Amino acid sequence: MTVNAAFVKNNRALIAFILIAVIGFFSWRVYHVQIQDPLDRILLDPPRSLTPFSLVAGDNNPFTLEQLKGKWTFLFFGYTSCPDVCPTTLTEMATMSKLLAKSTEPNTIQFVFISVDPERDTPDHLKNFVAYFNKTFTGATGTIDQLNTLTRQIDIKHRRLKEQGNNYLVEHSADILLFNPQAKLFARFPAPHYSEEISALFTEILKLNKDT
Amino acid sequence: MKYIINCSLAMIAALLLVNTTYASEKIGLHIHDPWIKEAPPNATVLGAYMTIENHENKKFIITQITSPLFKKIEIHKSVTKDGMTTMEQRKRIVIHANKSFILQPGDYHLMLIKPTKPLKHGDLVPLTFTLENGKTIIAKAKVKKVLGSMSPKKE
Ligand SMILES: [Cu+2]
Repeated sequence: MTVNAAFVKNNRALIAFILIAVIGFFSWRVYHVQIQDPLDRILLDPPRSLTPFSLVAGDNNPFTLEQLKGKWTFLFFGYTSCPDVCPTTLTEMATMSKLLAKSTEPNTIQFVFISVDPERDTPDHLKNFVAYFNKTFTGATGTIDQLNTLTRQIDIKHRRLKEQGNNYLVEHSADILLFNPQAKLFARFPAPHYSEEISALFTEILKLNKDT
Repeated sequence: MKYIINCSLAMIAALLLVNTTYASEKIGLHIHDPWIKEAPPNATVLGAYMTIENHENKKFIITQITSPLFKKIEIHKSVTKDGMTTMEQRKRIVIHANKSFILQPGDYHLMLIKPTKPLKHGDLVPLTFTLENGKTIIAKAKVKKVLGSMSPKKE
């Protein structure tokens, strides 16, 4: 029997212990880097309650604090005269909806697009616009004052940029916001958005929420 | 294995379908793979993307882009600063000698304003690029429906 073999035979328990400790440490590190640290960056602690606001969705349906209750809500602000970033984000949200449909109960998550350009985006125009990405998506808007009542509470900035007849641009915060079923602001996902990444983080959020 | 073969076939098919380069015979400036992101039927603006390759030892400047299918076309860049996103208009595109200029989602794009009719996946849209020297290049951009993730790649 060689020295090495004898060493292994006599210290089996010790070697097993070291292996488990090393594996344990690395899984903990991976968990931290991939899940815990990103979660710490996006979660609001504690979740933020909102005061009432009043917006309008398609077919003259109200979109208020009530519509945020009872479901998890992913919310994005933009406008439809935006050919690049806004449709890209809506495409990502459509992918998230597909990905999460596999791992969550039906009708527990909703996706909402709020236009900060009410002059050009009527509620019905928005309804048809978001339906292209997913039939279940909601589009809503309101007067600038009504919009501000909501956006000021959740740190969303928006500003109309230049006048050029009807061809002006709008500047807006690009975060995707997540509200919990109690209508509290729960997390914010900064741009750029990757559907797989957000879906994975949301799945973790659901797990943590079940445990507590 | 079957999956890999299917994927490769799909990729080859995609390359055969998509790989189109437009050039004017006398100019070493090529418009490579121009495409337009399909948008909702009621969209008033669409985004166009492409790679413009300059194969000559001098720079080219594109000053105007027009299409019979749009009222107006502008050169834009999407920018995100301090969590705020917006588009900045550019007056021209400069393609330096032997360099490429890339227009891609979340970055430079052509903003196609007011389509004369709704466009859908597979449609071809003629675009005319006018250079500072007065020459023109005509390209046909293909309308494509994008399904999966299309945010600009993470570094
Ligand atoms: Cu633009």
